[in-house]
Amino acid sequence: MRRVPLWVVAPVVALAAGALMASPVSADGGPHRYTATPSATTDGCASCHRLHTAQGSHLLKDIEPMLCLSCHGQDAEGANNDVEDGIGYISYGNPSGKYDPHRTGNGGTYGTTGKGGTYVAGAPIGALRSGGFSYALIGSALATGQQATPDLQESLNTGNIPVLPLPTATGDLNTSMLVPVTSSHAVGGTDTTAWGNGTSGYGSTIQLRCSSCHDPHGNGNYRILRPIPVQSGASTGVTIADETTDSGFSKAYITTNYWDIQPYELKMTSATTWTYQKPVAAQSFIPNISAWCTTCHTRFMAASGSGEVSTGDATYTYLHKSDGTTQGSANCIQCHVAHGSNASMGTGTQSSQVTLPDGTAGDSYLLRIDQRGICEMCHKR
Amino acid sequence: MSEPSPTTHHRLKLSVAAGVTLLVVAFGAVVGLYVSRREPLSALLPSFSQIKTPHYLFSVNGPKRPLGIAVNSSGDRLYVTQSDGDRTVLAFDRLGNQVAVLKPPAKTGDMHVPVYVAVNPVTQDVYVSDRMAASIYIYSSSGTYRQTFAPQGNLGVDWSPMGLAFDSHGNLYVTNVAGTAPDQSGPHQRVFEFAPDGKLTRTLGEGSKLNFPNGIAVDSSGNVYVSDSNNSRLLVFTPNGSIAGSISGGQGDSNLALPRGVALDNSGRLYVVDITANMVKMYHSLNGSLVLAYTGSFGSQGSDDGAFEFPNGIAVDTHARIYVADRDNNRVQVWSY
Repeated sequence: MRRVPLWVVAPVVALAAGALMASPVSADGGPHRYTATPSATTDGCASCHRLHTAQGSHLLKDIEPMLCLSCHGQDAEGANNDVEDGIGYISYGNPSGKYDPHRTGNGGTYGTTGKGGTYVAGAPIGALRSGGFSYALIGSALATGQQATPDLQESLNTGNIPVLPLPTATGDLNTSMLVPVTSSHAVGGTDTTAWGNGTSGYGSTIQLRCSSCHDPHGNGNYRILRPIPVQSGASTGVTIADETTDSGFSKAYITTNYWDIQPYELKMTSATTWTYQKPVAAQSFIPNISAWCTTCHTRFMAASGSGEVSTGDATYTYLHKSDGTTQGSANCIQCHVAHGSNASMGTGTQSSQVTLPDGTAGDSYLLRIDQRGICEMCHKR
Repeated sequence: MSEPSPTTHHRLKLSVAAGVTLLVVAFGAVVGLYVSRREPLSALLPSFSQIKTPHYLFSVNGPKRPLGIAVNSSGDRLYVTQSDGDRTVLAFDRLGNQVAVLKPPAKTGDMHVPVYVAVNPVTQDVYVSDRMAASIYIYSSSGTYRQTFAPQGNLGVDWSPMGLAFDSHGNLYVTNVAGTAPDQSGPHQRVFEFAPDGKLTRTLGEGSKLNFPNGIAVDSSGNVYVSDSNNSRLLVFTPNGSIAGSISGGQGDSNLALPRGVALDNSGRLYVVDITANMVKMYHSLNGSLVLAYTGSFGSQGSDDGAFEFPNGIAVDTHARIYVADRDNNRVQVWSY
């Protein structure tokens, strides 16, 4: 019998071994990260993939977004962020480690010292900075259109944080908290317009899914964002460093951090008291966030002064500055959320009539504040 | 050939009459039983020597994205949590008729999502976990809110209850999915056991790096079965807290991908819902040990009868009925042997 030469066998064996050994496993609290050391086990892969019986592209066991929502849905059975409701589950880091009755139910006052106030809910939850796809908890009425409170920004600076009204004690169910979104990124895979994408027209037609923007395997980026979103047409990727959390602090996704880009963080000072404090370090995602958003919304990127100089584009002719790379300067997420907003345009005579670039009826455009209250956030007059 | 005598003829007529009467009575009994139960006359649970797969009976349509499911001791009340719509818990009778709505207390407001549910076998009270409200609500069997469960003792972590189960003495077992440890060192998720008065009596899984433990069940010997969901495995804790059995993750038929709901039937057969595999996998212990042998599965992906779209919770009653919360098909499926 003829022997197979070693130079043929060796690469085949090496490839087979590599395929078996280079399998990612669960790490860092979920299936989204590879471990540094390859492992022979494949538990993490099997959570989402099937090699021969996949029902979704990329050999996914099921299609998006339902597969993603099996952990990140409104039941939050497998994750600390519920992207349907726009809720993040946080840890107080209770030093005593004891059950505290003030946390049960909603509307409990949890401490009165320091800069603390009334927490929006007694449970360890808060609003996701991105909003949600079905509901959101954005305090969008805190600066209501033309009636924006001039001192609101000041109050943020001093740490006297306003909060949403507490649920009333009447009725079995209270719907004043979870508010249906008025606009959201359409992640169901249907045709949608990436406004400003491309070099002409209103924008390209794309099919958006969770994995269009997020890399489920993890990549070290802030929110595991893909450097080049799927179907963006971009050729150069944008890297956004993940944010850091100061030692001893937990991320406090309170409603007000929606329009304060540098969020307050929550620190327990005892079993029953807490304080908010701005993190020492500036948030790492700010410098590159506009560059990332405009990998899709290409023609929305604009430098200071673009409101006075024509771009020559038939639709996007004059533009508000959006290239801010420092704390407090104008960038995309200073005004918009990424997933969905509950901001209301309905009562504004002018705001409710703003249409989409193609002239069709508009919505809240992922804005954080009711009507055009977002203008007042910077242009207080 | 001679004709039968009058006596023989009389006996023959009596025999025929008796036979007909027996047939009528038997038929009436069958009809009566069928009408009273309105289901196929399933046999009792098959023994382990019988490798038998359940079959689909019918569905209870209507619950909005149901997650958790529980059935009471007599099998005549089914409780189903809804994660969408008004996010309440629905109670059904054995025929699938809705008989009650279990609402959270008024102070909860809108921030609530009932996830898992269990029935206390001693009191028949219904316990509902709500991670969003960080609460376990207690209701009477008829659905009246009684109180919120207040755990007593040092939990060591934030209170974030998910899966619920009772043992036969009314001790409550809770999977707790508090996010991270105070020192940010990673997941600090575990299983608590509470006495009927709410006192913490035991903590399981502290060294097991549990990652979103969901479903939980307790057998008659006090062994605790926990689906360690994000680790793609199931662990069996003995009464002394050690791990004596497990089902690992992977792509084999017997392996788990994303296990959620867990239930045990009277024969000790273990059912594990694999939400992303869209099926229920079955196991039983080997020779009295806690080594679990895979015996089969049922369900597939889809919306037809017997197919699932992200099933989550599971419950088994004492009449060989298996209830599965078929989340994205907005229904509860009923299976039996």
